[in-house]
Amino acid sequence: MEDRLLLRYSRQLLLPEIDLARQERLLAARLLLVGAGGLGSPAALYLAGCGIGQLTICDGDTVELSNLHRQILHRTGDIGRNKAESAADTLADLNPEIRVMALNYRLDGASLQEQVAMADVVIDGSDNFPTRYAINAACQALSKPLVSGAVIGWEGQATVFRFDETASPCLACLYPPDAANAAASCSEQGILAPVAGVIGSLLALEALKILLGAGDILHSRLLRFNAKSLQFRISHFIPDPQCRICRAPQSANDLTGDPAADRMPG
Amino acid sequence: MKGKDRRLAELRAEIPEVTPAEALALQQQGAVLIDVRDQDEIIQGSPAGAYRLGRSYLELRIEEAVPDMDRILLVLCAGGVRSLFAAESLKQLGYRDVRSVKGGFNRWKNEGHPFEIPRFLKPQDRERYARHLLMPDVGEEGQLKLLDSKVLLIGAGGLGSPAAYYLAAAGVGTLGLVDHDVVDRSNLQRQILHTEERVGMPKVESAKIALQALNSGIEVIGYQTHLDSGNVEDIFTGYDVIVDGTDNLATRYLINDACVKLGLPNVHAAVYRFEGQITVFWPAYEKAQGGCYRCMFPQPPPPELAPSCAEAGVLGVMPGVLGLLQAVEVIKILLSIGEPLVGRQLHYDALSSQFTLLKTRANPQCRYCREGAEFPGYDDYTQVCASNA
Ligand SMILES: [Zn+2]
Ligand SMILES: [Zn+2]
Repeated sequence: MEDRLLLRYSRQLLLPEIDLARQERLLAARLLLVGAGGLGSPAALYLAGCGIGQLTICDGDTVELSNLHRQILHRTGDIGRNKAESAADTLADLNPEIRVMALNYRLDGASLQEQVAMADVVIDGSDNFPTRYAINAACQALSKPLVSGAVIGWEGQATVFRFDETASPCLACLYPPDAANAAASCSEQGILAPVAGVIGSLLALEALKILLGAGDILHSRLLRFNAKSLQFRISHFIPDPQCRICRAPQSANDLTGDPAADRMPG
Repeated sequence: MKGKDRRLAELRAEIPEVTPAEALALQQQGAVLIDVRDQDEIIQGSPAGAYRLGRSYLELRIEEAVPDMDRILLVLCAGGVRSLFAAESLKQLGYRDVRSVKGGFNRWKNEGHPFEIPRFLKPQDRERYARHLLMPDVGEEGQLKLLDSKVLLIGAGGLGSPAAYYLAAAGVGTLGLVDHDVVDRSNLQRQILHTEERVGMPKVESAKIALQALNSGIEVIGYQTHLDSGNVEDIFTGYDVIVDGTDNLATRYLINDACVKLGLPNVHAAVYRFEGQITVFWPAYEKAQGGCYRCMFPQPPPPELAPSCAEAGVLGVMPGVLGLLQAVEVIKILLSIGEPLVGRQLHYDALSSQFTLLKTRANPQCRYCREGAEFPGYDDYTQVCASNA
């Protein structure tokens, strides 16, 4: 490793969990982040900071003023720009040594599969259920670990689906599409700014633990955070034997399919 | 016109009317005064302590604002007509005693009753903070409170970066940053406020650029200095909350002692490798009992037991999580929402994914925060780490 990289990453190289070989592993890692918003902002900054070799960020939305109360990847001057492109600039300012790929469109179907296939870990920072289910299905089909979070008001949650290991439950096991259908869309709900930050940075941490092969990963477990009491609770969940995504034999059409797209409000 | 006059006569027969003087007396006894005028009228003045719910949203908002159907509601408009219609609607919702203020705000003002000029968010801020305004317990009032608040962060580094970023984004009106250092390339793996281009720049200056690019509507004050017993009170005075993001033990004692003396909440966090902890030291807080830093650690350890001065390893996202939790606690304190971590400490072990809340207790013998203690003065500890460890 070159001297300037040794200097840049010197503080983490002091950790027993990150030797040169593991730092090299981070520098060679490819991470897909869907959504450069409230969860994606802190996650992307911390992943870029520690030297994830290639960060692919996709977001089809443009930066709005109302995003800036929590989406710290963007600046007031970025209003109107595509979020993935704005994010890529901010990340390059922090760490020009990594590769950031900005995809300025919404991933679906073949494009989603293609990006998931190239990634070592996927982080879902999207804000709607159809996208979440589509990412879940693609990661499950392609056996890629998926780190997923959500925030609403004073509360947030995070979990990991280890599709790279055997018999992981999936998002649809945790939230059967019908129940999710009834859940409120988060785009119309309030969010306390730093609550999104807490969950987003925890997503980055779990992704790093997967890449480093260090520690106990939040897999098959749902972490729930309540900011008012500052309590974190962890509950286990198991595969749903009836799950349409991870239990039923899959046809090629189902792989990108969103089991609930036809019934779910955006 | 005929229909209106007939309807008004019916309403006057049904809704009791009170004079502004009577309304004021009732308000002082616990009745709720509701100003139903539009924002462009209210901006000229509104009775002190009135609920300003707006006529168009009145029925939708009243039950959250006044859950008790037995409380007396006093409805006020500009001249006493719109208030009759509004009062009838409130009665239909189930409020048992609803009265209309005769002559409205015009008469209230002419008779010299107390009024205030209420503040509203600027239209642009209404959009910027839209997601906070949607939260019933934050709302416009809470957002205005954040904009009026002043928070001081000690350290614009690993903990201070995310805390400052999110407090700025959330609209805390004044952010002070104390840091004497300049940006080093080895900071950038965790100190997300800074950039490659600003290596070599004072951290407070670099932070100010980042924070104002995100939100130019707030004020950022940089103090490029070492905190010591000679400047700590000057710098702290005027701030509402202090955020301790220092990794220096001597500074930690100084922050603690000044916060105890000035009665300020001290939102404290620390990170060691894959572990982090956060608590709020605030002996002056009334709703929960908790001590100060010295209740736990009365004195710095002797050099042979002190932690090494050499820098410890850290993965950037660890101070990220802890600094963000500090930002959460700051906002809770500023808005008086939820339970701040007073008398409790959260411990996070990232490798085992364990979060543990521990109770902390005030030490009744603490020289600094015990009841009636006379301030023992500041200690300028010179070196509290073991230099050749
Ligand atoms: Zn499943
Ligand atoms: Zn004490």
